[in-house]
Amino acid sequence: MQNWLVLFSETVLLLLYLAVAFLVNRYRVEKTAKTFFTLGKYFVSVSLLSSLIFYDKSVFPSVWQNTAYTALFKVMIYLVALFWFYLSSKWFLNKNRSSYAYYSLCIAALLLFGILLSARNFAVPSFIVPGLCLITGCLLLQNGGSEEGRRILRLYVFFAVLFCLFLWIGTGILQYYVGSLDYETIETFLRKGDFPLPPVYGAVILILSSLLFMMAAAPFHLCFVSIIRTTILPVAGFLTLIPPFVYLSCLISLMLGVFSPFENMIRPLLLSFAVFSLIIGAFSANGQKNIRELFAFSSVFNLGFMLFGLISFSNTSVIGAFDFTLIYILSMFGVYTVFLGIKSRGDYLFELEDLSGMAGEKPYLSAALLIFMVSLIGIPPMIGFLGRLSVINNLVLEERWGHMLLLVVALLFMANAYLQIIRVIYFEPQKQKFDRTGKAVYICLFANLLLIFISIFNPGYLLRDAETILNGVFG
Amino acid sequence: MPLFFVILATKDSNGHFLMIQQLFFALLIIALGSFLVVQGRRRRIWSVILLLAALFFMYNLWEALSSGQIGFFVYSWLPDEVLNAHFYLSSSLEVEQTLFALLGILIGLVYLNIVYQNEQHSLNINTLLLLNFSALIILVSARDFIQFMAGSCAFSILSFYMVNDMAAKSKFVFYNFWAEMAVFTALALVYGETGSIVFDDLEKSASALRHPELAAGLLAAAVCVKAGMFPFQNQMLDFQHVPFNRAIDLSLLSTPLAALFMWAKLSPLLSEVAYIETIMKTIVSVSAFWAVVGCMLADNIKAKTLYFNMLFWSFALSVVGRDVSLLYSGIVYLLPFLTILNVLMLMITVSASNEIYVSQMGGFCRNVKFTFFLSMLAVLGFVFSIGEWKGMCPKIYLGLALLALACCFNGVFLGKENADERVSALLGNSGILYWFPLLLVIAGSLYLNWAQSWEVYAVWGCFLVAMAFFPQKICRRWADSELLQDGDIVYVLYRIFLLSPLRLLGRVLWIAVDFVVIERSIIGSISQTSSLLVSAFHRMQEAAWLNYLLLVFVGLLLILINWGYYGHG
Amino acid sequence: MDSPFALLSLIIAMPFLGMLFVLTIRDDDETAGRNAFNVCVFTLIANMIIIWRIFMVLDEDNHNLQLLESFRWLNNPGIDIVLGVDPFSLLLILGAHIAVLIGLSGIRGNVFRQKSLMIFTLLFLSMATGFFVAADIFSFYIFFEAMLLPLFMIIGIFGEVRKQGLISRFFLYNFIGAIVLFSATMIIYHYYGSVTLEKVSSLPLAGGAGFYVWGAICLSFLFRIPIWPFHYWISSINAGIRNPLAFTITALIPLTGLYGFIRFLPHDIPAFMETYIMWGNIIGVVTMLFISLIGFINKDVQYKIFAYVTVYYIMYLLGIFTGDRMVSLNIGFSMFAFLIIVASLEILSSYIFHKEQENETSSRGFLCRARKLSYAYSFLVMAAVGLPLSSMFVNNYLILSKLLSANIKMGMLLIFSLALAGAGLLQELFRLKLENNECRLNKDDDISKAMFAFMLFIMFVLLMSFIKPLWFVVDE
Repeated sequence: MQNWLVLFSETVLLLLYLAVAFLVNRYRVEKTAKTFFTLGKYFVSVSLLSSLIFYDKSVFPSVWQNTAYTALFKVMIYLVALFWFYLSSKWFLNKNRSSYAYYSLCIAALLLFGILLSARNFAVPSFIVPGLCLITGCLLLQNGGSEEGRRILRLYVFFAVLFCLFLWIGTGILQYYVGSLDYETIETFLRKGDFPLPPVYGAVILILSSLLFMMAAAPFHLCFVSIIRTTILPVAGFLTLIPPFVYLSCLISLMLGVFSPFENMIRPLLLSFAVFSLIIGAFSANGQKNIRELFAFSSVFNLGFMLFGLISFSNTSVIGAFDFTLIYILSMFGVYTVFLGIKSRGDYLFELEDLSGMAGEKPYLSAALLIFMVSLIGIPPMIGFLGRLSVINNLVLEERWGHMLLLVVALLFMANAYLQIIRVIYFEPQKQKFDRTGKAVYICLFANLLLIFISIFNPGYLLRDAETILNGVFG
Repeated sequence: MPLFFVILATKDSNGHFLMIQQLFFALLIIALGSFLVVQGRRRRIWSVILLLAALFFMYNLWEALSSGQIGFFVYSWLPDEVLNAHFYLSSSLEVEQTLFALLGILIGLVYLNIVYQNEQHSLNINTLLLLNFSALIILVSARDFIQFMAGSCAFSILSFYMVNDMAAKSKFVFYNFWAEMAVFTALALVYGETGSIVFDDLEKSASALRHPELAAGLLAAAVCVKAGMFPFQNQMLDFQHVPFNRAIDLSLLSTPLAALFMWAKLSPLLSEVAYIETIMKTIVSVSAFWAVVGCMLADNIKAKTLYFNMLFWSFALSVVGRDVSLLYSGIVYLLPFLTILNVLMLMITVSASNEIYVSQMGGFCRNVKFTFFLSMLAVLGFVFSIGEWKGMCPKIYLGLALLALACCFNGVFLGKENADERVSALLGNSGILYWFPLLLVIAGSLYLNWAQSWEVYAVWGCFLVAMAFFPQKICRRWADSELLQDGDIVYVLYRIFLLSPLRLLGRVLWIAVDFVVIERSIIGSISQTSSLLVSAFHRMQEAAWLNYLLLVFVGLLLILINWGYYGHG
Repeated sequence: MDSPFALLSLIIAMPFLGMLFVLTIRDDDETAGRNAFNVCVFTLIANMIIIWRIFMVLDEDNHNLQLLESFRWLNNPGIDIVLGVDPFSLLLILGAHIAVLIGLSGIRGNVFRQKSLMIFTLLFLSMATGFFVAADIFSFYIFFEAMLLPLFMIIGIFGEVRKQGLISRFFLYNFIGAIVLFSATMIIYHYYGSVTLEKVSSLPLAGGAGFYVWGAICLSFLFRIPIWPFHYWISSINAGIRNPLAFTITALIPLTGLYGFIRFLPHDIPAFMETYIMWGNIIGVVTMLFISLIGFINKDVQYKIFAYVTVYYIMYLLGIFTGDRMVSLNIGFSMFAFLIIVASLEILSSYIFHKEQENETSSRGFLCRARKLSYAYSFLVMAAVGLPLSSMFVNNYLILSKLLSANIKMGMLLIFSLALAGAGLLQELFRLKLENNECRLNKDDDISKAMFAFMLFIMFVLLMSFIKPLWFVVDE
């Protein structure tokens, strides 16, 4: 009975939401953009609570197993999703659009993410990943079917299919040689070493390549960047804020678990992707006119930064990567919250020059954005510094001086890109009037900033529990 | 009780007031208090009060000297283990005697500032004079470098405020600024190499210096600049553009005096280097020659006075250079006569309704007989003061000085009358406030020193003859020459050979180094490379199929390489 | 000696709290600006009172860090925020506070985004105070980098910098320095844990690690000091800033570099460093000559003041390179007066400049008509050139003595540069004093009585610093 309750709390609830939402959308006449958020928040909140309560209970442990580790990541994504859904509802209200598709797709994505996090069998990702790609494609359609949107969709579909194929091929090869898709079985098999290396290793890196595509690691990042640029703001925020946790968790699970026998071989590959992400992210962010695209490249850069610290997959590096990602998400959440507050004549602004002199009329929004930029640059005592500290501390411990140098150079370029935003907002003369910002934006900003300030004076407040859990898992 | 009043009221065990510190602090209090006095309404009254206060302290000093009392005051200023600097207001008998003589000159100048009608800010100038005297006490009493430099700088600063012509002020401050820097550098060098800032240690530490020539050279240069020696005389000569009384104040009780004391205190160091003496002798000789020629050729009576003073200072330097003790026992006693002669020149202009050009004077002895008479007596007193000095140097100085005076008085009192109608109409002896005190002083000094040898009187007689027959036409020929009268060749040379090259060098460095090397080359190239890379990345990532395929291909290539390298064992 | 009451945390927190207070002021343009200004001034004065109190508690003869406070900040890696102070650093903090207060007096009538200016000023002051009281390497680094942001914002918004690229460049130069220092800090932490500042200069780092660490540390501090070729970014910014408060704050940046050198320079300088220090001396002297020369020929008073500031900072740097502890203490005393003089000169120059702009006339001869301004300006220029009107006189004497005895040629060139920089200021003084009939400014454009009274107070502080450097310290 207990085990089935676990299944009920996560998947059934979320599936239940989809059903209820469908019915509401079809039959209820009076519905607003907020209706589906109002509906969804209860389901997501209960899911969050139950993932905490049943953190170590699983329905099918061989396929999909909950642990403290998975619970940690689930809590993170549910929390972030909850707040982001709240803010997104304001967007839909402002645009007077139906949010049914958006919330349904996002909650479906949450469901799939939750399952992916707990996966113990490659059959799970083989179905989940294409599902996620499908959901992403559908989310892309939310932009109203513009010409560019359709083009990006076509590109995305092509590459998504390609990488899903890689995933399936890799999975298929493993199934062929191992005879099972279970993680433990595969790990045991790989440790024995009694197999033809080329195809097996090939399968492993094919699977990894699909994960790297989903993570948007350069040079596989273009789709992600294009999507962020063209899609609607709630979707862009969702895709920026939620997936990084999930894929980080997957990567760590794979590298410390099933692929650990190949760790030394995979590390150079990850390193090269990290380097590409750093360089491409840092250079491409400079000179961007569209701030969403700028932050998309910022995400690529930060992914590379995180990977740099993570690749040794030691205890400290994993904790460091988690800290970094958490802090990064916190800052990016704030940035996207600010995006939701910047409007002129009812339109949300995304061109950098439109934000000229914003500080004069929107001092608090600008100040908040400034704090987030500074945090992203990593200037102490802002919380972003802690993230940077974790990664660089790791590099020093492992005496990877060359990597540190590369990191520093890339950081400089990235800092320059962030500075452009600060410069435009504060130093340029104002070019247009801005609309009134909703209370919701200020509430979320306040909460975010409060968390940041508390973390400045007491970083343990934010990180201690997570580190305890991770230490417990890996210690 | 406030410290000041404690000091002022304290007496020593014999019941005498503690002179030096009382004099110093009293002067300070009075001077600073004067700044608070409302300007305009009662300034002359307050100036008289200042004068009376100065007289009172002179009397006190006289009493102290009579009883042979010596004051001593020390304040531990910087009790640092590294730099143990103290503030001394100590004295020896000779210092007190020096101060007495100088205090007399101060009183005379304060009085002059009060009575001189052209001086609009007599209270200000007298206050500055009092403060200047305080600075002099600091300088004279100094036993270490810090106090010495503080006194010297204070002297310069206060003198700076006394100059009320901008061009003269700027030249004065620039010259003295470099002089102070030279002193500062030299003393820093001494301290750095010997670890001592005390003058008493200078004699034995001077021989231990690694760069004595540099230190001595800097100090000698500073002395020459401050004293207004050739070629630095123009800072002093520019005082011809300020009111006459201020010119006298600045010429007599200002930086040249500080230069003398500087030389006296630092002589152990200066004498350490052999060639310094030779150089100084050359400079003072050239300066003396320049002063005499200038005195004769200058048309402006103020300029003549300043040249005459320059002659005196060059003589003083040469004397002190040979024997430091002569500063206290000889030079300071010549200063009153110098002051008298300066005042007489001023009286001439007062008599001539502020006419300052000698070429517009002539034949004044007919109308200003008394001033003429006083002038002759003053010259006699001057001859008396120097007549007893031994050696060639005083004699040469006396000869040159008398020559200069002969030229000057000939042009003013004798010969054809060149004054215009207005001057002629108003020509008359200056008021009793001028001549009466002067008469008393001259008469008094003549009475006290009348018992001189016949050679002294003969010299005076020669002066009278020289004055009577001086070929004034030769000098008057140059009266209209602007180059000679107002030109500043040194400044022109400075502008051509120092300032312009420096400006050019500065511009070249700014353009070549900052602009070309850093801005264009280093920063420009980094900036352009970065821009190039950024634009390349942007082009590479435009939403086009080719770009997508290219990047994915690169990624797959990386994977393939990795697989190829590791996948085959 | 541990602090019984967190005084050091208080002086860091005070400006920060003031900043938060200013943030809450409603945006009503003029009123808000005035209120923000008053809050800022009040905060500064309150902080200065606390600093004065700390002076009384401090043992002046003990040159070790006192009143230590420690807070655990991070567990992984284990980082504490450690605070401590000695007379030297406290003097610099006080000097910085007074300088900023003087700068504030110069922008009293400012209406352009006054609230923002106050916010960033208070934030900067908080971070700068933290920087000077940091007692271990991490705390030092955190505040070293933290002050960059308010600096950047002040210069960007109020610096009136024409080329926007300059501001980004300014930030990146400093950021590079901070990152480099960070890497060195991490390496030290890796080998020795969290080291206090007193021990960092005697760390036995050898070989490649030592080379990198000391090199990185020196480079990071050199980025802040306008020594060639790092002078370019700061000269480009400084020479153009017209806001006196912004200029004053920017003039404090090289101080952070100097302070870093004082704390970090090894007692026993490794052999490889001696060559670099020698080159540093040469480049320093060349920069001094170069900058002083350009300041001398440049007609812009801002550049003259900048040249003056640069020359003095490099002189202090060369003094630090001698390795003499007493010289370092003298630098503290000298810098106290130096900061006050620079700030005062700047506000008066800025005042004159704005009068020029308002009346569309030349300021040549202005001081002939503006008596109060003339007194103040003349005094400050004379104090600036090194005359005995402030503690700069005696302490510069000691510093220069040491430098001359170390290397006579370097010392002479140094003094020449100082003289040239001083001559530049004197040039400006006389330009303002030379009577000019075309000048339309008159005595009504003179500074107000309140401003003059404030200037008199500043002059009093400077004179007292000459008579007795720590005159304001009352023994308990």
